[in-house]
Amino acid sequence: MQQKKRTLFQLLVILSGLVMALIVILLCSDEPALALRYFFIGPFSSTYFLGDMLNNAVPLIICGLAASISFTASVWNLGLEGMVYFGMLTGTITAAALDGVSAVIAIPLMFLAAFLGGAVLSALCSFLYSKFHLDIMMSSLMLANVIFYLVFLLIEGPLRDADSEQGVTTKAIPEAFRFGKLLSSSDLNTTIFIALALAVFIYFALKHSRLGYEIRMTGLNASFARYGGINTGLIAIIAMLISGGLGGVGGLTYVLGTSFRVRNQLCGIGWSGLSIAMISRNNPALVVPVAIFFAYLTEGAQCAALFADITPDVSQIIQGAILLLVTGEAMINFLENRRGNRKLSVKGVSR
Amino acid sequence: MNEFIAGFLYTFIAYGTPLILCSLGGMMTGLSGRFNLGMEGMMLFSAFFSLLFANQFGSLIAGLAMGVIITVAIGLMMAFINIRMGVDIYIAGMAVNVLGTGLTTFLIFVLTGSQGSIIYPQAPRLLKLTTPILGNIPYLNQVVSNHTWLDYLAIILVIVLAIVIHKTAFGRHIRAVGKSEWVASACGISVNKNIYASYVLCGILCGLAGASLSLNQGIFVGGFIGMTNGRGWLAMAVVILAQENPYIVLFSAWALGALSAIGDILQASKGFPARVVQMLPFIGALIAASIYSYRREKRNIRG
Repeated sequence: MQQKKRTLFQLLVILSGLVMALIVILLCSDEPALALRYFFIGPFSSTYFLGDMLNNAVPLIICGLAASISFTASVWNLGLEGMVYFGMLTGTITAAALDGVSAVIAIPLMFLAAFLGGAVLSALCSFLYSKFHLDIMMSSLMLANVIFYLVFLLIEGPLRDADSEQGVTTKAIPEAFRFGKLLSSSDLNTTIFIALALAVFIYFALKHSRLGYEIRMTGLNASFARYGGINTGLIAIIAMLISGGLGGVGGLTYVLGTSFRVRNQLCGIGWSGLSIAMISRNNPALVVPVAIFFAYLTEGAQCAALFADITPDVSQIIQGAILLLVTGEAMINFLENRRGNRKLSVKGVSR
Repeated sequence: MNEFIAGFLYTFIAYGTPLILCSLGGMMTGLSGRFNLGMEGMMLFSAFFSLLFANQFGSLIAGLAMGVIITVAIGLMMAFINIRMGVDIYIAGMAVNVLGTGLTTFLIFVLTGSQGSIIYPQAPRLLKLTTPILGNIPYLNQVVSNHTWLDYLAIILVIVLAIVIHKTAFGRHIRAVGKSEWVASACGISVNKNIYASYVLCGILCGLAGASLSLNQGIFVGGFIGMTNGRGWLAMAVVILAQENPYIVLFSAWALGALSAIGDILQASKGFPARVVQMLPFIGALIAASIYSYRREKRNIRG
């Protein structure tokens, strides 16, 4: 019963987000009917927009998984954006450097480089935590901000492709290593299968493997896990490494789905990944639909921007609002309290 | 050379102001046990709305008031959804950050049609004050005089908050709530009231911080690395260093400001890459926080 209510409530929250989109569009558009039509139906109106939406969802799914693994272990990896950005860079330049090598060797190496790029930053945070007892939330955030400027510096300096016609970028990933397109008109490519496979794999790994169990126990109750013989410090570090590495891979898929180059601007998919993990309550099975929903919002806003007078930022407002509202059981508690039985609050603290 | 040093000291005092103000706000929420992660978003909100309203009404006070009202409202909302709806306070903070970047860029487009930034050259600026007595001392007047009045207010607020936190019942109550909500509520201290109060204070301080950013130059820049430029995150490091002591907030914010100022000077004179300069405060914060955490841990083990 509780479960049913909870799901119902999450649907309600998402609906209220859409209602908010409606209000925002009605308020600021001169031709609201047109804008609304493109916002809500636009992503499904042609194979191009549909493909673009799913293409946007690919890095979001992977980053959502990355964030949910670290959150499951109660590690607040809030610097995911930095890991995404760094992994993106290492993956892309590795691919560019391997130009001419057989794709069978180069593609795994490219992904490995992206994974390692993200994982190195995680490792640095873990090192600061284990040696200096610096909170991971804090170190990952600071490190992310350092990394943004480091990557900007590298892209604008030594790694800049002088022949690029697309502004300040790195060298492109060679044609041979790009993934096959699925819907020919859009950028959607076969990396979506990698994302889905990762989601399924992580769902089962968290639920049914030993490491998954240890990660969950560490997150649920660290001292209980420690009494049970789990090395919680090590597990937290492993979760952090996987999280950062996956973030890097997510960054690489973003590059593979867009312009094949790393630009000197942030894409925000790391932050979105954190939001997605929070909304899906760290459940890898829910990460996929939530990520696709986020991509739908982004694509809808882009459609409306293209054909009507809306900016793409509408989607960000809605995402923020949904993030604020997503509370599941807590919100239900709130409503029940309203209805009369005002008990002392959850933790027994009278407020 | 004296000119140079005076210029340097002047710059870093000016740099430090927004960081001091928002770190004080973060410290208040940290004291009540629910650290505010949304300061970056709050400052963006206030920077945007204060500039907008200052320009609209041609009045500095209107702008400042609007910026502060908005951030206080956001702070109250965060506290409300945390206390009454049980949303994790970190999630609320992240949501405010997402909203801050999204809503400001969106509103800029709706209101002006431009992408990401607005410039109001005619908007009223913050007044620069000349201090009466200190302003007459040679050398010193180049450093301490001619700052905006928010710079002086920030320093006064540090002293005021130091007294409030350590000498008044209100400050003790907030700290008690942060230490243990159980014990505090058993002693008859209202947990909720203190959390709300800390978030209202954080709202006011972040509002002033945001306003001091945009009203200084009449410019607002939105986006992921916008006007605030990671100051909300730096404030986290400052709060970790300061714990319960506002004076340490003052000095660590100045130290980080000094790092930026040194970087700027190196950039201008030696052609230091701009990106490295932008990196410096974060590296400094990371190192300082590491050392502090390490020492605290050692002390805890020994004691």
